[in-house]
Amino acid sequence: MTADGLDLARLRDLEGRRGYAWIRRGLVVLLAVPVVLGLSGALGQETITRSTSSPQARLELDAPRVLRGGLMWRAQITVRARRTIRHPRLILGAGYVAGMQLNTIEPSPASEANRGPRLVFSYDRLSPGDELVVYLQLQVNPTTSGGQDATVTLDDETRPLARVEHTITVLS
Amino acid sequence: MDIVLRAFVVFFVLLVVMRAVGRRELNTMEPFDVILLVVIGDLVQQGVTQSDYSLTGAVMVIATITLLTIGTSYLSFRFRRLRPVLEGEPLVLLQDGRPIERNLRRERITLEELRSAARQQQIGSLERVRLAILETDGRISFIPAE
Repeated sequence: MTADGLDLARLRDLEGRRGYAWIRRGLVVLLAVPVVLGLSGALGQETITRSTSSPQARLELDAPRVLRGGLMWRAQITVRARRTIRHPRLILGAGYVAGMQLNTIEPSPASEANRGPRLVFSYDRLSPGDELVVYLQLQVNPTTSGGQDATVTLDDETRPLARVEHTITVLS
Repeated sequence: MDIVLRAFVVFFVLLVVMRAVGRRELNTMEPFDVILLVVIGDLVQQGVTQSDYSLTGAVMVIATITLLTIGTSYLSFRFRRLRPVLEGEPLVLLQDGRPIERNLRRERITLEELRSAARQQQIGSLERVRLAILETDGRISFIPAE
């Protein structure tokens, strides 16, 4: 200790603080974690495609797996009819409405209804080979977080034809 | 992914802007400069985070900008040739009491501003200065004559 009150052994010769440099380097590596995860798309909003087939139709869903509060996002639902579907209905999981703003649906359904917390969109008859592509534009409410059920089911009136299971995780 | 890339682009745009504006302006800010800086900050925030209100998004942006700051600082420390690009170089504004007009003009510093900076360091006359140097952080150092 000098007359100025400076502990030279610690301040000049780094006694007892040699490990600090490694702690700082460790913190820098820690900072790289969210950046790498962000670049990999693990923290949103990379779109993935899930699909399922049945003798009546093929149902495909393009939607993100992970989202963050406030983000605008898009889901695309594609139906390829293999047989005639007289009353095609798309049933959307509750996660498309709860904690989300559903901005637009294109093309607009002929009619809309609900089955409990799920939305039901009815479209016109599909013949074999017809393709129906529905675009949904949405935005996550800033306060939403956790898993959201984004499952899509294709019914012919009330008879289930195909179902794509999907969950969207919203990070706070 | 896009939020990290936006933060990356904005960091380098700001680096270029700060180098183009000049160090003197950044060190001696007028009220208008302060307002301009706040406006730039707001525009940058909108450009980087856009509609993202999440904590995760904020962590990603902060981590990206911090890593880029550490990275450019390390590059500047490690590679001497990069220092003028990343940090700039000191510039002699006056030698043996004689102002170097070309250098003053280059940094848009008037003789009055130089005298004012000298007065703030208790130097009454520029004739008593051996060297006046504009440092990379925008401050002017005065070395008095013996």
